[in-house]
Parts: sequence; structure tokens; C-alpha cells
Amino acid sequence: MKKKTIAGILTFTLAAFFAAGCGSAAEENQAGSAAVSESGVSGTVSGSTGDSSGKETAEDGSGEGAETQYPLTVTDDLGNRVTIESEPERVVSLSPANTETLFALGADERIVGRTDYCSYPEEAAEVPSIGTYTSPNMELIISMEPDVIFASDYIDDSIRSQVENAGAKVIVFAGNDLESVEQNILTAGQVMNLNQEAEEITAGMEAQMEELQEILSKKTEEKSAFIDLGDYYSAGEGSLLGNMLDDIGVRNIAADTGEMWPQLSLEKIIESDPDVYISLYTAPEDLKAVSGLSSLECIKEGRIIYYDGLSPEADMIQRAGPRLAEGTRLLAEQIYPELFS
Amino acid sequence: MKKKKKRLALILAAAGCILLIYFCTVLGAASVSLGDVNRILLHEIFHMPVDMEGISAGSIAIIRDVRLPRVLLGFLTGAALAVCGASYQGIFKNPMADPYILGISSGAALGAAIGIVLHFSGNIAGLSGTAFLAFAGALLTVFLVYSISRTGRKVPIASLILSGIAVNQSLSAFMSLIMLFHQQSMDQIMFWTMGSLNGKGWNQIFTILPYVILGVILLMTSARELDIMLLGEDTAVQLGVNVEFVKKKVLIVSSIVTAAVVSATGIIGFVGLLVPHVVRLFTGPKHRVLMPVSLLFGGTFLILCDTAARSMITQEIPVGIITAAFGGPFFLYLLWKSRRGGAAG
Repeated sequence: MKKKTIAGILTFTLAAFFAAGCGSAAEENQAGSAAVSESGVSGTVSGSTGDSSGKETAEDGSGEGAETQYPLTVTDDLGNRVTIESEPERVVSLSPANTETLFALGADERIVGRTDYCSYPEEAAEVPSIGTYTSPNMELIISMEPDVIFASDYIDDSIRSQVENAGAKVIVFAGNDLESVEQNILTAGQVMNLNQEAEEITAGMEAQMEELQEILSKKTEEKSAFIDLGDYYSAGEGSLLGNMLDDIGVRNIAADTGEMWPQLSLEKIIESDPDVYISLYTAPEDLKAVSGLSSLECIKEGRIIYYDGLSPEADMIQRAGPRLAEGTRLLAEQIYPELFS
Repeated sequence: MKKKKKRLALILAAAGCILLIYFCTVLGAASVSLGDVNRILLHEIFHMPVDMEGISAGSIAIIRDVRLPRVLLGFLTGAALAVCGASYQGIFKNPMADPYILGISSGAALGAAIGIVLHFSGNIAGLSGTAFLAFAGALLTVFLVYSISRTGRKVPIASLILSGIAVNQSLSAFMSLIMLFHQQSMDQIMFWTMGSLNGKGWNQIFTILPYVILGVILLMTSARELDIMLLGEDTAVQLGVNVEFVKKKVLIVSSIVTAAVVSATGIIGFVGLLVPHVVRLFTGPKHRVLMPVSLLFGGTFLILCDTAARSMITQEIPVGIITAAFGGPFFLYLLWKSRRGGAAG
């Protein structure tokens, strides 16, 4: 009896977790195309009111370090239209990626709260934590009196409505590829009135990616890879890691499942015979001990890229923040070492 | 005459199981042709001089190291859980009894969660760190429940069940707490608790095989006493059955077998609860028949569910979901049928 209830709850939680993941993919596309709509955009359209929703891309709107005109309405990755009345003085970040973005923008002084997992940059440690990103401490958040909360799509609806009642605006960022992450950074810059900084960051990311693509263009073969998040769960189509593999020209053997977080059967992995095994949980020596897996060329020859769960490298390739281009390069260097000598 | 017939039926059923193991080894996510599967099985398992030309090393590894051991482990797991379930239902005289009723699943899950959070790797007594902690957690839990409910030399069933439920609940809470404090490990813990045979192979089989074989034999030797106990504990005592001893024996043996199985595969629900009930609808309540038939049917049922779990779609489905999803309605159907026609009873 008990057992079934537990299984039921777990199944449901998992389903919800997956659904949330999948949902964000669809919404991301939507958000990507809609970009940021804002009112009172550039200096030329002076005096425009809050309801003029001329859809402009962020680049147009905030070009050349323009000042943000408040009130500002942005559409977040869940499709919510959020109106910011004035320049935020106090903000809380509910994800490590958002914390990185805010620090990169130079909003240090205005960040009043972060999660337990916000490990980068080092200064983040000085900001008080509000708990974990899935179950933050609501009283702590409200006591910080934030104007804006930058959340991830983990945020619970009940938490959301409660902090909104307390007067905070919630903006959800769920970027899952380079483009949407850059868009998130630009939106954050706009909200914080740090447009120029945001553009510098995204321009830097673009430059890094261009340089990377130039190096990668010299590759002679397309390699295949399997991402193991633990227990052969993988990052498939539409996930941040899956998109990253696409970006660097690596064939993801979990892509054809059509799922964002599929679990592959061991025999499928062996049949696909990937060139590289990317493990984000299981240590290489444990992988070598799995019967069947040890017959794979990439395991036998040690072509295993291993980043332990919370290592800085794992963070770099898994966080939808300003270091994503760097993380992409890190992965590319490991998969195609011959191109980076 | 009748005895001979029964024996024949049992032999036929066993042969059917072997055939099923073969069929399920042919089916799978990776496409290896029937001819290749046959050649690999003959050459690699039965060491026959078969021409192996044209078969890739990958196919050999898939059949020999992944698919066949997985099917065998499925049989072993299902069989063990079903027999433990049947004997638990016997001593508890409670239709809701299953191998996890004394909190063994929560204990194992808590142990595994600790192992996952500490990121235990390497081997302890032939088990992976996580599996070892799960095994230890399961046994400690049963010991705790047993000690709490023991009064003098007796172990009243009602207090066993109650303390089992209480311990179960608190251990689940501890596990949730661990998951909360280590959110980066949350997925792994969750996947563990859903039970899966993916990625498990010969290592797990060899680790749990001694426990399962010895345990099942020990449980079967108590079948006669369990039958008498169906008449009520007092009657059984009058008929010369050492009821307390049988209870202790079944509790200890089932717990060790279940702990071993769960530590290897995670928590696979429903098999231990459902299979004995289904079998009872056909064979009646006598443990001498119920237990061996449950063994065969439990193994078969889990193999079928796991084959569905690994080959229905391109991604894996945790087998616990399949056992519950298919097993539940199937059982309800049988129950409904037997209530209406009384044919199966």
C-alpha cells in the first residue's frame, strides 16, 4: 500500500518535472520569436505609454546603451507579461544561472538574495541565501523586499502568487539554447537598466561562438556522443545540453527519442556506439565496471568526458547563463581535441 | 495419479518459462537479427562451435552482457518477490501484505539515498556502495520493526504491521529530507526508487543468486506449516506447529531475500502483492502449490513487464510503472471474473 503511494507520488513528481521541462521548450520558442516587447523603448518614441506594445527586438529597443524607460513591459519565458514600474533597487535570483547573469551585468549591489546553489562568481557567497531553487523560503524572500525576482521554471505557482502579492515582480528565464540565453541576458539588462552591459556580454558570447565555429569548421568528421546524467538518463532534443551538442556539430545519440530527458536502454547505447561518452554523474571507473558497456570503444579507450555533479566544469556547461559560450567551447575542446592544439 | 499430473503441469510451466526467456532475449531496443541472436547464444553461452562471422562485437555485447542477463535478473527478481509475497500473506493472513510491508522498501531507499548523496563508488562485499547501503538499510529497518513489536518471545502480527507502517513513514520522510537538502541528487534518488533493470547484468545476478536460491528453498520448506497456519494460529499450535518459529523464520528469510533483490534493482512494486493473489485465484490457498507457481508466474510477469519497459518506445520506462499499470487492471479483471462466475476460484 504505502509503497504504491510513494511510487505514485514519485511518478507524478517526475512527470511534472518532465512536463515542466518540455513546456519550457515550447514556450522558449514562443518567447524567442516574440522577443521582448516594451513600452517607451528608445528615446525617439518619447512619451509612449505602458500599453503601446510595439514589438521590437531587444537590440533595437536598447541599442547603444540606451536608458530603459519605465514602466517597462517584458514577456518572460513562460509567456507572462510583466510590467516593471521603475528601476529595480532590490532583486532576488532564484537560479544559479540568473545569479551569474546579474553579477555579470554588474548589478552586484542590488542583488539581495540568491539560492544555496549559486556558487559563481565568488562574490555571490556574500549575498544571503533564500534556500534551494525548488523550495525557497518564502518568508526570507519577502523579508528581503525585492522589487524583481528572477526565477527559473522550477518556481511553483503558489510561491509565485505569494511573492507577487507581497509586491515583487517575477520574471522566469528558461533559456535552453545559446540564442534564448542571450535573449534572457538582454532582457535582464533591460529590466535592470544595464542595457549596454548586457549587450557587451552577448556580443562577447557571439564573438566566442564565432571563433569556436571557425575552429570547428576545420573538422573532418562528425563525432557522436552520449550524455549520461546518471542511470543512462540523457539530455535529448531541446535540452540545453542537447542544443549545445548541435551547436558544436556533435551527433547526440539520444536525440532520436524525441524526448527531452529520455532514459536510454543500455543496449541502445551499445548499438549506437558513440565516439565520446559524456558522464555528468557516474565516475569513469564505475562505467568501466558495467558489463556490456565495457565493450564500447569509447569506454575501452577512455574517451570519457567526466564532470562530477557540482564541479565548476559541470556548472559551466549546464547553466543557462553568461558563461554558456565558454562552456560550449570547453565541451568542444574535449570532444574534438585535435582541432585545438 | 493426481500428484503426477500436477508435477507434469509444473514441468510444463517451467519449460514455458525457459521458452519465454528465449523469446524476450530476441526482443529488444537494439536490432540484432534472430539468426545472430541464436548464434551468439549458442556460441557465447553454450560454448558450441558456431561460425561467428559477420556478427559485430557490439551485437555480442548486447546479447551476452546486456539483454540475456537482464532477462534472467528479471526472472530472479520477480520470482523472489512473488515467493516472499506469498509467504508474507501466509503469516500475516492479510491480503494487503507484500514484501515491503515492514518498511523494507523505505529502509532500502534511505540507504540508497545516502549512498547516492555521498557519491559512493567502488565495491563492498561484491555490491556497489549504493547497493550495499540499500541492503544494510533494508535489513536494519526490518530489525528495528521486529524489535519494536516483539513482546517477550512472541511477535504479534498486528503490532508488526503497525510498527512497519510507522517506520515506513518516518524513513520516507528522512529520504525526502535528504532529497531536499541535496537537490542535485534528487533525480538519481527518484530514479532509484522507481526500480529498473536497465544497466543491471551478471554482477547483480551473481550477487543476489545465493540469497534467492537459499531463501526460496527455506521458505518452501515451511509451506506445510503455513498451510496449517491458515486454520488459525491457535489451531496450528494445537496441531503441533511451532508458530512463533515459523513466523520468525519467514520474516527473517523473506527480509534478507527482499533486501538483496531491492538493493540490486530498486523498488519494483506490485509483483510481490499481486502475483500470489492471481495465482491463488487459480490454485487455491495451499502454499505447497501456491509458492512454486508464484515463483514461476512472478518471474514470467516481471520478464514480460520489463520487456515492455525496454522495447515499447525508444526510451526506457521504469519497470515499476509497467508492473503497476498493467498488473493492477489485470488483477481487477481476474477479481471481477472470479466474483461473477466463481470459475477461477
